[in-house]
Amino acid sequence: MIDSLISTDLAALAIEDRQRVPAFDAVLPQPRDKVRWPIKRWLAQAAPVAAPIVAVVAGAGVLAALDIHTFQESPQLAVVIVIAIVAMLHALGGRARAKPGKPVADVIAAVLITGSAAVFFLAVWHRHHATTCPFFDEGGVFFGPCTDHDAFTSPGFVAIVWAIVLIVARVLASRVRVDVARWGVAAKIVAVAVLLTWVSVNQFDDSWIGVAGFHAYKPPPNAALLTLHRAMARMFDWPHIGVELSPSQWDALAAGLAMLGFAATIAVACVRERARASRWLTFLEHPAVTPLAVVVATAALVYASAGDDPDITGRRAAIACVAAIIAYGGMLLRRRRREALS
Amino acid sequence: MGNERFRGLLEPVYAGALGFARHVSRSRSDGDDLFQEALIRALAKLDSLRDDAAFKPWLYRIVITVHRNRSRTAFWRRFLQLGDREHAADTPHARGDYRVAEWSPDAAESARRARLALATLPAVQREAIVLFEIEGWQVDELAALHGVSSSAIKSRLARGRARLRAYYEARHQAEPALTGEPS
Repeated sequence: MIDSLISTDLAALAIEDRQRVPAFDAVLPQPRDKVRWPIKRWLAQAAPVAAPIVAVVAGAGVLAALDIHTFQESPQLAVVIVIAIVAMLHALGGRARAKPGKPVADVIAAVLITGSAAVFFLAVWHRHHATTCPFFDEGGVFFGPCTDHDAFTSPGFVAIVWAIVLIVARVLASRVRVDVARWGVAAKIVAVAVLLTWVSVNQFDDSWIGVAGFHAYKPPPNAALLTLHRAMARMFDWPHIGVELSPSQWDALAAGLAMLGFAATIAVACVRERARASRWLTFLEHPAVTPLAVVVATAALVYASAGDDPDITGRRAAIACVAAIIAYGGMLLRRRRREALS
Repeated sequence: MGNERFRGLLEPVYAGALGFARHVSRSRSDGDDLFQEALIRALAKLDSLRDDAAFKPWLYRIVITVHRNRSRTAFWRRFLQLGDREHAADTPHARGDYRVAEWSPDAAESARRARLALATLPAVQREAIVLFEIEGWQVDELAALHGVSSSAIKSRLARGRARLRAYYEARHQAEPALTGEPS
């Protein structure tokens, strides 16, 4: 009797469901109004890419123009400030729904920026350590490293490459259809970590414009390059590199490895995450993580500004970079959670 | 183009999917919100659907995913089940609307009883019972939808029916006239 009653009640519920269904047009998502100004649509697509580029380039430019000693020694701190501000703004406006991003663009950008950094790093390294050019002055001909293309290692050059990479990645992403959603957050972190590391390892001594970086030797101002072609090649002179990297550059490399390791843990957690949420990601999504990391980054940044020793400044700048990346990662993971709910 | 395709695919299945969303949400208004959210997500991801014939299970899968995300988010909903009362009050019976064909106060009471009984089930059993008993899905379709074996679905259905039976028996104890038999 109970079973037949259940069947009767479920049948009545099925009939009620059919009676209470609204008209089809009422349930459809309403289309947006037609865009009257195409420029608005173009701006809506370009602004999310252009805004961080403008912020980073303008921030770095303003700080360099201010002629602050710390930022000349450690230009990566300008990027740290921008990341910290962006992460804090996201944390403050944290309950808004997020529009899904383009993980393909992030992955392409990470690959391109990593490749670019490696190519230019090796090019500069090769020019400074594996080439010898003949020079001459009043004293006659002498030999030294070919140091006539220092522009590759300036923060301005890095920022321009980064901007080009983001735009190229955006364009390529519109033509590539691959499901890489799980890699999106890690790719974004990798792109910023490589940017920070590339800027960090380039700085050398007191000059951030002539940041050739890896070699203390400079030809005298009145010396002229005799020939541009390579005279003698000394490839893979590893002990030479070890001697000539400054302590702040070693700190920058260590910070870069830490940042990439952090990105790797997030990538692994995202890929392995199935039915249950990863505890590591849940921890990083905690609302306190981003503000705390921003505070650490800011404190390290201020502390770096207070120091006179470039090596100590470099170490504090490295700490600021790692803290900023953690803040950025927390922000991205919280944003990912909002995207899933949006 | 995408909207026209979406419209064509949705029209034959929207009624069942909306009813399913309402039942798994245990509230009409929550179910409507859930369905809208699922539709928006489905429209955004329509390009990833390669086989149009698979639209129905694909849409139901989105409804289930959105529902589970919302359930995890709204922690308080587990304790404050306002939805049942809201749902029960918003029926043709409660509104005195008996003009609809096939409808009567007895049918309204039956539907209300079934809805309250379904609300007592855990989410996975409720999903299985609604799709099997009300929407007419087959066991193998349910298994494909949830990505589990047929025996797992049969187990969920059996446990769900047992819970429904226990609910009705408890009501019968309190209200012997329910089945027309003395307790």
